[in-house]
Amino acid sequence: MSLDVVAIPAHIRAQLAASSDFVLLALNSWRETAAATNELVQHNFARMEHASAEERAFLGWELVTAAVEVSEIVGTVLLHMRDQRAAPFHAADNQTLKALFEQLRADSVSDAEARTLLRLRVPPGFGARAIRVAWVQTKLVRTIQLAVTETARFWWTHTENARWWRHLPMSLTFEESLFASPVAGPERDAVLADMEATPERVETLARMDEQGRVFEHTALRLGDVRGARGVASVASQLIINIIANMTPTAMPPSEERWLFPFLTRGLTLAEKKVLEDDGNYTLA
Amino acid sequence: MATTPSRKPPAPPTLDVLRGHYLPRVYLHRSLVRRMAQRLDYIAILADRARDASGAANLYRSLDVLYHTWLLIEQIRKVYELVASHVDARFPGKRRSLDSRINNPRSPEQEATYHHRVWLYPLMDVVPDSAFVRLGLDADRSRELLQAIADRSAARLAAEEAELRAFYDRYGAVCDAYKHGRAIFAMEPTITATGEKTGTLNISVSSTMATVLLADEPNAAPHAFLTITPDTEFWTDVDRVLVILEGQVPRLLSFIEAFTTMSEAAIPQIEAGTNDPLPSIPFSAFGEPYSDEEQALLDALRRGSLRLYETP
Repeated sequence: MSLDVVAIPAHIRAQLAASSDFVLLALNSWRETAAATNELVQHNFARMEHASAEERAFLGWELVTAAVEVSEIVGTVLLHMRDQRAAPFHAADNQTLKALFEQLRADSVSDAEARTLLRLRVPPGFGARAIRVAWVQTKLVRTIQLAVTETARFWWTHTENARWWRHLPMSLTFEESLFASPVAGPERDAVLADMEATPERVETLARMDEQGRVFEHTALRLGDVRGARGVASVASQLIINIIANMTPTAMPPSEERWLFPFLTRGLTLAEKKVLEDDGNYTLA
Repeated sequence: MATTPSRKPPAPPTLDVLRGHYLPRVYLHRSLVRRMAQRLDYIAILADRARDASGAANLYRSLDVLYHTWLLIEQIRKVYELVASHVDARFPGKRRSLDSRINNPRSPEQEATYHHRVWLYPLMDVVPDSAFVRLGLDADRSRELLQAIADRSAARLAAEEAELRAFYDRYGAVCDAYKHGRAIFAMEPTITATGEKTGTLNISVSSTMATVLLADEPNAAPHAFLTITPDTEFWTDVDRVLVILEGQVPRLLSFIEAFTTMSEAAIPQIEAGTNDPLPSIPFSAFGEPYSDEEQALLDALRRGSLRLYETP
């Protein structure tokens, strides 16, 4: 049976939101979801190298859209971490995500919140071990704050592109837009010149503006695609890392703590060793 | 389609109308259908990835195939609406209306002519006799044959659309969850009743089944679990709609490319005030199998130029 509906009796339904095990088990399954989405993004990026111009543009928009979608998982996980009553069933609406990402791109997460996300614990006391770990942890906090800010910025930059691509990806080429709307003007000429000067364009197009019947000239740049690839990688690691470090029963043993490569990339070998030996972290 | 020209051809469009009205819309439609053709190729790649994977990777990759197939069905249904209902996609409100339009019920009258309108078969009603005669065809007999082909095509397209629609509805909740933040969870719920008002819920991690939470409102407690397993039944469903899409999308693309070529070719002709033959009015049929006579007619139309506007 490919599809099956399992009705939930009322008495079980009432308990679901209150059951941290259920909510966290669902959350836990997102580790694989995030990894699978990132894997598809990396697969598409690799395909772009030998693709025709048309296929490169198609894959580029797919990459950007998938990265927006994986960013939304980050948003929902963060919402849940902040308030377990928020989005218990992992369906944050667009308005909620907008407000969240607006705050995150401006302020990221606080130091304390970043520490909670990674379960950063300094060994007790004021010994050399505690000082060494605390020093390295400061770097980890900055890295996670940067990752959250970049994810939020990417979401804001491309969420409307993703909506266009998923809902009705219609556009005109520049030539078609000039042909269909031949009246030139300094404003349009400036936009076209700007587009012409944009390096590494994957696709240049004119879309109908969402506010009226005018063309909005835009370009998908290789930089956007590379950014999407990076965000998908960082966002998926962020999701896996946050969930892997959660404590409840459905999660790994409470003393097992993980750090994924994007977090430790800027650390020296000595600093990584401090985290492993003195901080009880497993560096994935 | 009438067996004799039921209407006089409308006056040829003016240059302003062609440039400012028809062509932008045709270009927009063409860009969408070109991307749909690319998505069809992309789905084949995704399906290969799914076939090559096992365990959880197979589950997630199968969901990728499902979602992109579902999305392509949504887009082809939007194209139907754009053409059949003359939706002007240059207006934001009309673009947004497509999301609901595709699910709106049709009156019996609309239903009877829907796919005739999608593929512009009524255009044949205004082709003058002389256009057939120029191709060495008998006008009345040609119209009679074309009407039969168009009716068979529309009947087949209506049946195919019903299959696409059923698939779209069947997998709608899963695909909606996929595109909205991947709210699909690799777990298997089991509810065991222990009494009239008592029972237990057991949830286990799964690498073969995904679960969507069905709720009446966003973030409300779900009233049911919808589980999906990419099994033989799933792949039979997917393969069946892909066969339909592989039949329709490439023809839709060549149809709209031909229509664009015809519209572009009209511009210099109108500018110069001449009436040289334009590329043929596209006629794309789904009425297989064809009799020898029907096939000969279709071949003649493909080779020749069936002109809507005759030189005075």
